[in-house]
Amino acid sequence: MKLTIQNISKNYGNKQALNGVSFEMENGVYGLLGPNGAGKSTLIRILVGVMEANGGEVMVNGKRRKPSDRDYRSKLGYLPQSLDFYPEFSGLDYLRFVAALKGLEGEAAESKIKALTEQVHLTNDLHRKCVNYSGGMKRRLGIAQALLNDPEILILDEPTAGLDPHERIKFRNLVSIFSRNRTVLLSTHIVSDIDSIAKETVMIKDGKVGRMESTQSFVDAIAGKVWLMKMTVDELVEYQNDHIISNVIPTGDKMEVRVVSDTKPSADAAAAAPTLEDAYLYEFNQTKGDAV
Amino acid sequence: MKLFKYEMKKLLFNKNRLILLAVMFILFTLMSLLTSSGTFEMRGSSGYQEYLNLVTEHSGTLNPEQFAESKQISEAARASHEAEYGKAENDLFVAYLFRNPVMKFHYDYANFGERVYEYWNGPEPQDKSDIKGFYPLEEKLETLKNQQDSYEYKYYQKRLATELSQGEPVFANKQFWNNFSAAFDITRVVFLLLMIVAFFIAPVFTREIKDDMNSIILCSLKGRREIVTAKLLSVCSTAAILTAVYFAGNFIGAFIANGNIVGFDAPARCFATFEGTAIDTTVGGIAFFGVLWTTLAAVVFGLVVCLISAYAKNQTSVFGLSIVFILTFSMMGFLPDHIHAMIWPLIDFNFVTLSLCGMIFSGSTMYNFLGMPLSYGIAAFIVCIALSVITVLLTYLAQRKRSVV
Ligand SMILES: Nc1ncnc2c1ncn2[C@@H]1O[C@H](COP(=O)(O)OP(=O)(O)O)[C@@H](O)[C@H]1O
Ligand SMILES: [Mg+2]
Repeated sequence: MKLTIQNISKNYGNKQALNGVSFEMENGVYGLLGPNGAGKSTLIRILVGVMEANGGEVMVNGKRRKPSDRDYRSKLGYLPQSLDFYPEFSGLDYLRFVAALKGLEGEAAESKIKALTEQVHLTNDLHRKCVNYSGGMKRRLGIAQALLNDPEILILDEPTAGLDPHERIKFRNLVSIFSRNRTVLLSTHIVSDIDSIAKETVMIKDGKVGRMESTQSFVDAIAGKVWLMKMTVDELVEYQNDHIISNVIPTGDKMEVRVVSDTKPSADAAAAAPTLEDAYLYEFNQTKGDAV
Repeated sequence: MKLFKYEMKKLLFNKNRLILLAVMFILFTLMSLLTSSGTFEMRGSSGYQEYLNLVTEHSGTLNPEQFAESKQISEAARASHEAEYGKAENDLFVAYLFRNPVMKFHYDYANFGERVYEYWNGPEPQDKSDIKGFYPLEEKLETLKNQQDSYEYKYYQKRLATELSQGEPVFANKQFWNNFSAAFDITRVVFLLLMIVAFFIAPVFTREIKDDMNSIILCSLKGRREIVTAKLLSVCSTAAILTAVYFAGNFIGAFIANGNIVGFDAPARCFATFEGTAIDTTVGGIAFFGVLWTTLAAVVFGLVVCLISAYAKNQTSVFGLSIVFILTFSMMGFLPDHIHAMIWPLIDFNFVTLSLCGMIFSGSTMYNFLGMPLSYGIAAFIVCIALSVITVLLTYLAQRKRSVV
């Protein structure tokens, strides 16, 4: 399954949310990384076909995808960013309803629901009304819903929002296992969600994306640009206004500050190994020109 | 179909809605009991047994001597009542009749006699553009016998055939059916049935916006077509169930008041709402038709509410718009004739008139359809079906084109 996003644009009134977005996906996990308001959800809504673009195409295996394309919809799993539930439905009602929407009935639906609720640890809460679930439980129910039809294309919009660290790790493992022979796109503004599982990542900012690259290459691209240096608190307050600071650790009476910078920021700065988080900050903190 | 089951759960089969439905049932029953309060009074008064005997004795075709006697007695009673309370106090006189069942019999029998007279001779004065009565119809046809191909001739011929097949009115005990006929009263149908249908059905599509479910529904295999089928079916079922509960409440209320349903096998024209009916059946039969028709009208109205819901943003605006529609149409009956002449299709075939059973099955109104007289009932049925087909198609279209935000 090959998905090609070609020159997609979208306006909300005067506001341009997407501006000529293009990239390609085949099997594997893809990260869509960008700050709030970058256009991630807009792009995803167009990709799953619940919103129309103002320009551009989504191609599936080289063919234009039309909104009426049932075949595409049958292969799709989608977790929207905002997720609400019918007040009169229990978790089980909800999953059965979505299963029916996806064309799953009878024994096939029941066994799938059973397996998935075990994976997302909701078995004991299935008979409760899902409006009363906690934020994390709702999201896990949302994830289960997206996986019901064994989708070839799984699209998750900020799937880890509201999950605790333990749930996050479980979720990552679930996606990793699931992603074999499938295409998974995962949007987030949290770097740690994708740095270990996304083989490729595309950065999005102000409705524009850069090149789809392997996640590691973003890290490699800033090799030699990450530094550790020490300064006092007063110095730090001044310094952070015009520098990218990715971390601060208090050590004795001084601060150990992690700086991302093209040039060595000071004579005593020591080079450090870059992480995806450093790369993210580097990409999105540039103020001049097209960052991505 | 699984989706249908869940749509029913959203629309009707959930705790809040079922409680509301039960409350409605009680309300319908109470309303019906209230309407039947005169019956209670009559059953408790001393002359009741004599009344029953008189009614039984005189059931059947008109007895002219009894008519003359009843007419004289009831006119005297009316006159003395008016002397005491004044002419305008009709309600007081009706209440008086319920306290004096024997007098009620005479009053009813006198009225019955008038109807028999009118059956043969037509009303006084006649409306020259729409002749009524057996003999006047015969005369009219005689004057038209050289124009047997004209619409007018066919129209009166059909009318005369109807009168012939129905025969002269007969007298029967039908107190239960008099009470039950309130269920077909248009104000009651509009305020107690259609408004509740609108309330129950308004959220059918808008709730997917409110509960943020559209993004999941619209990208699912069955989220653009099958879900609409399920929703439409659930809308029809909900409207039908509400109508059934409405009539059940009314029936039970009237039954509690009367303790019987005597009169169900009398000719259909004995039923107050359907006195002019052209259908050759019994009181029970025509009541059954009336319930069926009201169900159809409620379902069609439900489909219209569903269509509004498919294009609206929230439940309140759907409900508001539906109510505006019904009330506007209810008012149209009061428009002056020259306006009526311009927009008669809107007046004759809107939701409100379409739910008027009395008019559908009773009226002698006919439409000139390609030179053939088409009865109002059949015309109304065709309009209902056409309206349903259009709303259903537009509802499918709405979902096919829908996008989030
Ligand atoms: N329904 C809407 N109407 C108007 N503007 C919107 C709407 N949805 C999103 N936007 C704007 O479009 C931009 C992109 O939004 P979104 O796709 O939600 O970003 P992200 O998911 O990356 O946070 C933002 O500036 C947002 O304010
Ligand atoms: Mg978003």
